[in-house]
Amino acid sequence: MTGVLVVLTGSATNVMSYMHNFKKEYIGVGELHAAVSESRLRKTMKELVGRIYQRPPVRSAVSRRLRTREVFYFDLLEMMDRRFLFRAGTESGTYARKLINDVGLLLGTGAHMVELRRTIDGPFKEEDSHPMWDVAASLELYRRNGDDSLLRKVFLPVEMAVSAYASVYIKDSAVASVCHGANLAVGGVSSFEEPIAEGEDVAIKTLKGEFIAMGKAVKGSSALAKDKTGIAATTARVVMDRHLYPKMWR
Amino acid sequence: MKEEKRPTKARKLIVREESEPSWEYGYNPRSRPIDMLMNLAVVVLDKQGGPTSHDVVASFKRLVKLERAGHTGTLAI
Repeated sequence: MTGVLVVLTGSATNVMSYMHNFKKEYIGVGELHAAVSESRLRKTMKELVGRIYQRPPVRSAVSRRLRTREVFYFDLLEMMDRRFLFRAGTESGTYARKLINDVGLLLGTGAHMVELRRTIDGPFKEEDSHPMWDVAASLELYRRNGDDSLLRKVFLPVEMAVSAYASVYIKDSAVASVCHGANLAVGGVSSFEEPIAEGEDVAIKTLKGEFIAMGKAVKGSSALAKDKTGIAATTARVVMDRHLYPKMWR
Repeated sequence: MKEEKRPTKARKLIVREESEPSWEYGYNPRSRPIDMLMNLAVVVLDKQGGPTSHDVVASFKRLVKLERAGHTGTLAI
């Protein structure tokens, strides 16, 4: 399999677990084990759009319990004899290989996946991806003459990885304590993006927009807007260097 | 690269208390020093066929000389 592989570096790896649930898009090639008309194939693929049952494959990283996954779209792009090119948009954790097997089962012919390429992972698209030689070239340019322009195209600020989560912007005076793992008090909050539900994962950021930590909202938007005291969010995973902002607590 | 991507759902900013940031510490996320950025980044790799996701991350770490890096979801399914 080829395509989009999202990598976090340094302390950004602390928020890895928040990146697993992104929607995915795949483009791939399937092969039917007997000839089928294009319209029949198209119709069968349409039947697999929506909520489907999948049992993870024998060789997989998760427990092999039957689970449901959502297929947002599953389109036939091209067909040539028994081979077909497809595009599928799926919930995270959907096995494309299984989806193609299901096409074969429903058609009664059998089918298997020949090739697969991930084209989208959450906010990250194929167009933004870099093969390893791009990374090598950008490093080479920087190491040779200090030009970091290519490097900055490859290494994107961690803030882009957490853009799917609502932001809570906090005062400079509260940054160091959150960096040290303290929970965020409402008094430390300057502004926030609504809506935020109680218990929702939020991205705690500085006034400059720097990502500090992932937190879990203790208060929803309305309480967060007006409450005078209490905890706004518990601090879950800290990414920011704790020495970047000065300690301002007494 | 583009500006920080906005969430798909339009989110409204609610101001609780105006506060001015100090520029004596911290950085604008888009212009943090390169050494700091490289250890606080997301890199979207275009994985080629052959090596596993794990192998790709291992060679990426070696190439960039990073102590820590990890991928967010295996490309083996």
